[in-house]
Amino acid sequence: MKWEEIEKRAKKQPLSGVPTDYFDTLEEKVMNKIHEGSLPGNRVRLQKILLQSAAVLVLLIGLFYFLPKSDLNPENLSMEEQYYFYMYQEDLDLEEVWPELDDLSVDTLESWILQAHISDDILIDELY
Amino acid sequence: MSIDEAQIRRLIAEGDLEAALRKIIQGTKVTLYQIIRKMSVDHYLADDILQEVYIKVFRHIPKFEWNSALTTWLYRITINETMGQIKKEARRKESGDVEVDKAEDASVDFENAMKHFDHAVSLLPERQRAVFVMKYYGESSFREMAEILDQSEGGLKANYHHAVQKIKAHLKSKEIISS
Repeated sequence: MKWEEIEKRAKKQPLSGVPTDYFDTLEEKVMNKIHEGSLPGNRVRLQKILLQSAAVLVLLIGLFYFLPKSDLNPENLSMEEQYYFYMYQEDLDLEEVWPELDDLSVDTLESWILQAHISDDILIDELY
Repeated sequence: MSIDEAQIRRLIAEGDLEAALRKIIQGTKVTLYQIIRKMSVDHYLADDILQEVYIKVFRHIPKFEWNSALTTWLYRITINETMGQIKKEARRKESGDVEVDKAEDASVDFENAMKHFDHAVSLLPERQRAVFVMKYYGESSFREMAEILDQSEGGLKANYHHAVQKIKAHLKSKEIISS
């Protein structure tokens, strides 16, 4: 067989394996995907969800910053309480400090730490 | 491909994207399918790719700036999408070969020759395959392809030449064509 013959006939060969109704149904398949799939309805829904999430986040941030702060502040504590508080702040070894806590509840201590904006997760975790 | 760009543009301006897409599908489905099919061989893969092409068209056509022909843009999406999918499929084909019938009948000979021809095309590197298929089946000009593939006409001609030589070499190695 010659190359020219192959080249000429290859262009005309029918594509095998194409279902007879393929081209008739393609348009509807694509449109169905668009309607049911990720487009554009889902995209709109996703945008709506994202917007709602962003609004909730903004609200929470607003609440955090604008809600009146409690007066639980290390500076408002008694000398003894301040002592414990600063011990915690400087020394994270709770095992060592814990026996000295006496009357202080974990909740109270946690509140002080939060009020003082100590964001050390280790310290917070260790309280539990 | 046969599409009325002015009509499609008007539909998009009116916000009727679905009607625009339907017009595009109706006017391009056979040509684009043939190109994808010749690049990807398998019908099911070609079908997936073509549907994805139209979904991308639907997504992005509102932003199309009409600086080039719509058909050029459609070709570009089609080729890029096909080459992307082919990359995922390429590895498994490298060592593959085709089943060849041993019958002496002339029609079967030709059928086998076409199998080898298609297989040879599928073995081409992606860009050479894209150029060969667009030129051979899509009958695109090198100028048009240069715009679609963002490559010089000279480079594309070289790609096409190399593609033809590789297909010929493959067919010779299978004794389909004589030297």
